[in-house]
Amino acid sequence: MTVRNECAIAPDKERATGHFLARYASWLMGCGATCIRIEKNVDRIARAYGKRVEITVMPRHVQLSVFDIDNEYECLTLNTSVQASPVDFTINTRLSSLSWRIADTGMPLERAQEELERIVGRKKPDRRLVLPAVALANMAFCRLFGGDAVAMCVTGLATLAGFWLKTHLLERHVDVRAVFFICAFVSAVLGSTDMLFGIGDTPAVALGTSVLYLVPGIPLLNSFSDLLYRHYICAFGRLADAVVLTCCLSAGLCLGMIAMNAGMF
Amino acid sequence: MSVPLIVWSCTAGTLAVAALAGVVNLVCDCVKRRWLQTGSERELLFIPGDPVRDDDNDYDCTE
Repeated sequence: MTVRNECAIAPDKERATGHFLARYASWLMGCGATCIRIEKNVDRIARAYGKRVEITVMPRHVQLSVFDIDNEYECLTLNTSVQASPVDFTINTRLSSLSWRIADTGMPLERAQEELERIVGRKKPDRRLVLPAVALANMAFCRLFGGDAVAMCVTGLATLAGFWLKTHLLERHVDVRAVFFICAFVSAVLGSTDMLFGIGDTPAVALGTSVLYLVPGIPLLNSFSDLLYRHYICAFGRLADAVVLTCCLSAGLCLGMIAMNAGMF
Repeated sequence: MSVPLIVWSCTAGTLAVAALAGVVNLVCDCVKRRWLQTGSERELLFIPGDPVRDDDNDYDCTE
């Protein structure tokens, strides 16, 4: 939802530019961009349309004040909610690319709006491809940490099961914290298969790497980036999100290890 | 039977059954008939005339 406060009666063209910038910023934030990227991209587009923009980025909202470059006394202020969307770096990259095309080619606003809708409306990646890719990535981590072939297979299976469960539970709008807890528990239990049946030489590596797909890496990295650029509110917001998810992950993992007598306690 | 083995069997068994149900649903979708499915409470208790709510307030900031 976007709320606007017009300091003066803004012409339709200015309003359209403001709404486009608000929608653009909302999507960029929603798909996992850092605050500095949002500031730079929105500013680049605004300048291409002869505007200057002041942005306030909050964890769930973005506020923009759009000024005419020639007239500093009239502005259009918009508050918009951050788009609820999973982290998607394809959208992130294409939106950044769009900002450069607008700046370099002077793309008309109507065309830019069409491009934005096309980018955000694209089909999501096929889950049948993402699932094995995540399992392979976790198997590679297992190998990196010194796991043998058995440990890699166990990690792959535990990841497949956990990630499949995660996507299904999130589709059903189960609370994300509960999803992390449940998936960490399931992956830990399945990850200790070689420990339980005495197969393989590196059961601890399999157990440890079977939950790595749940680590909230992007919020942690983004929070650090925001911290560097002094967007402290967003930084702590993202950090709090990541810490909560990591605690749920740890609780599920610990419960799984206790249930499987994995030897940590 | 030891506790770890029971926990492992229950977890693996439940997931195997869920995966099997998924496969069966996939097959049944081809003949337009669902054999087994899970639904929300709202879907189960929906009364015609209830407002249809599009709840898109989930997020996934994990990877």
